[in-house]
Amino acid sequence: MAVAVAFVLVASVVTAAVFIRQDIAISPSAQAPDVVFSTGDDYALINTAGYATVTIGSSGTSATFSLNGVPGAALVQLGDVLTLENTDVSQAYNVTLKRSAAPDAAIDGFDVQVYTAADSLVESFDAAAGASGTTFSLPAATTYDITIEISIADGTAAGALGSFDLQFELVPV
Amino acid sequence: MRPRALTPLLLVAALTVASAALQLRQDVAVSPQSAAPPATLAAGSDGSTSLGTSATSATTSVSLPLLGSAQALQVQPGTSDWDVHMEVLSISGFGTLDSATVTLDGVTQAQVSLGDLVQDSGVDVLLESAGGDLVVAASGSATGTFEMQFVLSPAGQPQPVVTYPYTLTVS
Repeated sequence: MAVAVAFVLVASVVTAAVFIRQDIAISPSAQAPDVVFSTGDDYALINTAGYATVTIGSSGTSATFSLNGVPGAALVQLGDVLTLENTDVSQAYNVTLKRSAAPDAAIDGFDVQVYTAADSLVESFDAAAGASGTTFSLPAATTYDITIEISIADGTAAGALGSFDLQFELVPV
Repeated sequence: MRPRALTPLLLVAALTVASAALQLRQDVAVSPQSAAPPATLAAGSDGSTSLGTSATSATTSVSLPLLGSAQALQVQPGTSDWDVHMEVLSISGFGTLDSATVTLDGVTQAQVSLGDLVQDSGVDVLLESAGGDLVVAASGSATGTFEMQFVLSPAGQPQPVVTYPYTLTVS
């Protein structure tokens, strides 16, 4: 009996000592982005009037955008305030606009309009009405202009109305 | 041995899955603010006007005099100069003998003639920060309603654009 018990104990120790490791060598590198943001042709006028301030990230792949609306006005339109450019000469992308969270309840409308250089409307996404827009194509070597229209409820006090991210989801075609 | 035809098929399937699996997301962090209006609306000396809480929308009912015009509304300046004009979104209630004119600071912005809308917008009028109010006046012989909007932009510039809704009923 004593011999059998000792054999089981030894076998358990041997199993715990067997350890196998298999590696994947990963080498991340940074790649220049295909799709970048920049300020639009009318941004300077809008900024001078005090209605928007845009800061583009160093890589052009992000931006901060503060803007003013007027309570009770039908809307404030910031035309051609941003651009979305596909710098790749051969790769097209499908783009879907989404919001990270609903805008402040005082914001009745936050319409993001995407236009071609020829002023043809490609997409209109109201971030106050829904979480996601319709997917549209951004062809290779193409720049789209973005207009924002915001409407704020009558009687809203002056001041900040929260924040949210306008998300551009890009899928290579 | 795997049949040769299957190998390209498997490769295409793998590539298709790989494309759908690659997705990029680039964010714009948005911070909206409620700001002071570039101009405010106020009741004119004639008729009855109801203003929105922020004084950026209004509804006026006014009786048209036999001669002259009724002063329906005032547009008051803010802290900088803006161009202002009016646009008609729709009309209703006018009869075939009705004619009415709406002016802003004396400049015609909208006109109904014999029941038809013959002018639906006007040229810009300068609203100077250091100047006086612009007066919206109505004249003619008519019963009907103009659904309109004020369109404001910084003096001499096309952007940004702010629009104020305005309903004017004449009788």
